[in-house]
Amino acid sequence: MRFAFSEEQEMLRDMIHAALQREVGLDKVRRWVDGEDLSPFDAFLVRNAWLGIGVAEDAGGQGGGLIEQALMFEALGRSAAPSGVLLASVGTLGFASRVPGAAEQLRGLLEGDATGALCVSAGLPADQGVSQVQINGERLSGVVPMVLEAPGASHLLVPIPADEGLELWLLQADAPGVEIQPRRLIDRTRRFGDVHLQDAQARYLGRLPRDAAREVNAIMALLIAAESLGAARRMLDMTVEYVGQRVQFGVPVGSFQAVKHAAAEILVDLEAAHSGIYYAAWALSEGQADGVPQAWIAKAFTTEAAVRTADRALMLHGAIGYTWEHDLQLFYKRAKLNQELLGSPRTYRERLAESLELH
Amino acid sequence: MDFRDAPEDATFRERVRAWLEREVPALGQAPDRLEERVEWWRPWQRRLHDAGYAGLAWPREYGGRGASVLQQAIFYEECDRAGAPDRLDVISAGFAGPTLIEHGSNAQKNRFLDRILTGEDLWCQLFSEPGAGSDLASLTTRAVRDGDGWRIHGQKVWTSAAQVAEYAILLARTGEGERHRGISFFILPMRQSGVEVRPLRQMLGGAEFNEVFLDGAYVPDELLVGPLGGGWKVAMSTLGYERAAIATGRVNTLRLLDELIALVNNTKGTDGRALGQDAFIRQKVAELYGRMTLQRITGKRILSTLAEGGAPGPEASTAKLFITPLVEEICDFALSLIGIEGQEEPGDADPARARWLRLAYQARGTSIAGGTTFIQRNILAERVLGMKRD
Repeated sequence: MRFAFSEEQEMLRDMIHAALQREVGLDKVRRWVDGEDLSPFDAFLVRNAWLGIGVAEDAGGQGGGLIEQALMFEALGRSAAPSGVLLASVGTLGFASRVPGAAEQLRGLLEGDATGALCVSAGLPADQGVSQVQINGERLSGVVPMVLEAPGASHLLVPIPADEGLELWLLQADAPGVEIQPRRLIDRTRRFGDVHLQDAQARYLGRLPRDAAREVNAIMALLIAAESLGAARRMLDMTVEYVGQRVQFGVPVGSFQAVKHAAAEILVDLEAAHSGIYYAAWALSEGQADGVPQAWIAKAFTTEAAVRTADRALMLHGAIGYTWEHDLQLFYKRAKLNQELLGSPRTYRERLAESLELH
Repeated sequence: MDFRDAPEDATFRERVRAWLEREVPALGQAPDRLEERVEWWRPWQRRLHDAGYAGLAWPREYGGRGASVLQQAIFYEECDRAGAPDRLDVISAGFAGPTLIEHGSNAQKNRFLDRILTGEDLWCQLFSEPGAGSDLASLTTRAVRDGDGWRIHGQKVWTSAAQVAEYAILLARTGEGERHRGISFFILPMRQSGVEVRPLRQMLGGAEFNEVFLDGAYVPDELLVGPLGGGWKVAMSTLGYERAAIATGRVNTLRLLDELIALVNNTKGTDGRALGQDAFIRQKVAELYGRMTLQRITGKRILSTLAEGGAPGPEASTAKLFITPLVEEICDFALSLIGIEGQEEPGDADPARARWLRLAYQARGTSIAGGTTFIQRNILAERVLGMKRD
């Protein structure tokens, strides 16, 4: 039994950190928040081949596994870097690679020739698929609200529930009958849009079994948790630094017990989250029976812990933390959105209750 | 990352499991009163010792087995699984013994360690005083020079198991300086005149801890541990072992969740509907279950660091703060499902209900013992996060 990262994993983590610090300062993030085009960051991801981290080499990826991916998402959260394209790619490639022959159709994703979005509502577990899309021959119709990274995607992968699994359909985003209306969420570093389909020509890729869909969804849930952990760690660091400098009543406010206790409680949350995330990453990649439920637990616990962290950090910063100018908002909003992304903590706790055979 | 047992650990686990399955069922029910429980437990501890399971991770030269901390943890996991008797030697084998291995003289090690492992000697811990709780360094018990030894004067309090202990680890002031600097760490023989143990009833009625009055009790020089006036550092080691023991699971939270789920599935609400169908209850059980798994994974993480000889990371400092409210909440939630019958005197109540109540109260004790939750938060903020002392 060993709970530790390998030397290679630590090197990868440090490398990703360094690259993000070079390329994605918070001033850059602010420009994206103010509306600047995100696509240079997409190009940066492709240039560094980060879309291929955790994807097998024979499938055109960089190798490594879920632990490496989780480390990458934690680093992205720590930098408030846009992570939607990566998450969407994990979802689309994850679904497609579990259907024989389907991954070939999406290979361009890794080289940057294509960008894929998983055409499901971002607030629900992806393994539920979309039941509101009708199939007529090879044409799809219906509306899917709030799809992650639909604006800017070249391809949409539509999973439609069918006998204990999901039928996968591939659409070109510029095909006739496809319309994408952007939606702005409070965290503007990720893109969302409503997808309207009206007799849009699609290609059937095959059927994804229910368990495979659950596994991919669990992987996505876990990566969101890792990202929330990174954002929360950054907020804790910012807070400890601030309260060490801010003087009131003649002393740094960080010397007050109420302030110390709030910071300590954050750390208790985050260490538990770290344990849960990297255990689940291991268990999922080794096909352990508890991998999927442990990913649900990691998602529910960590995204809530990050939200608690965000609000404690805000209180400890006082009014300055409530301003547009202060960087706390970048991490605060990420934490809040991640709690709802891919399904709320309530959703995953209900799944867990079901698996615990409460009756 | 790899959470599986290494091959040799898996073999060890199988062997332990088979042994416990043979031995545990014949033991019967543990007596309630501590004095009787000790006499009931001693032959069991002796059997553990003879079978090679006492002091697993202690060095061989001190009567241990030189096994890894992982194997020791596997052994406790299997004891939990088999329903083996609760350990009564947590203070002696869990805190005092390791402190002696780290700081004691060779003579002390030779004299005491083996008898700790066989269960012949139980120990207690004489640290807290009426005026020195969270601020332990303000303790006032004095050690006064007398020939080749010391006479101890003062009062200790909250001393678990003092009534059954042969020895105590004791902090007393030897006068080298103020606060942390003037304290020495002694081994005190408990069975002597000058040591008076008075039971303190706890809020649930039991009397497992005590006041200890020291009126000229004698300690020879050879029972000083570490340098004269250097007791604070030794005591910090002891408290570290105490926190690690709490954090890595003196309470089997996995079993608590199994029992909670059984309770939910066997209880109907006042409206006659199954509790397990109630959305609020499903949410709460799932939330507690999730936290239980995180606590257990963190325990493994701590062990993994210790097994590789590393210094404990931040997770070791946060673990006690994570587990104590968790156990309180699990028990309180179970009691809330039971309703008013859960509040029945434990002596009168159905044993299964009484267990929830006892554990709910014990959990409050755990959150205070070894440094209260609030003191732990100070320590975490100052030592791990580097925030300024006030």
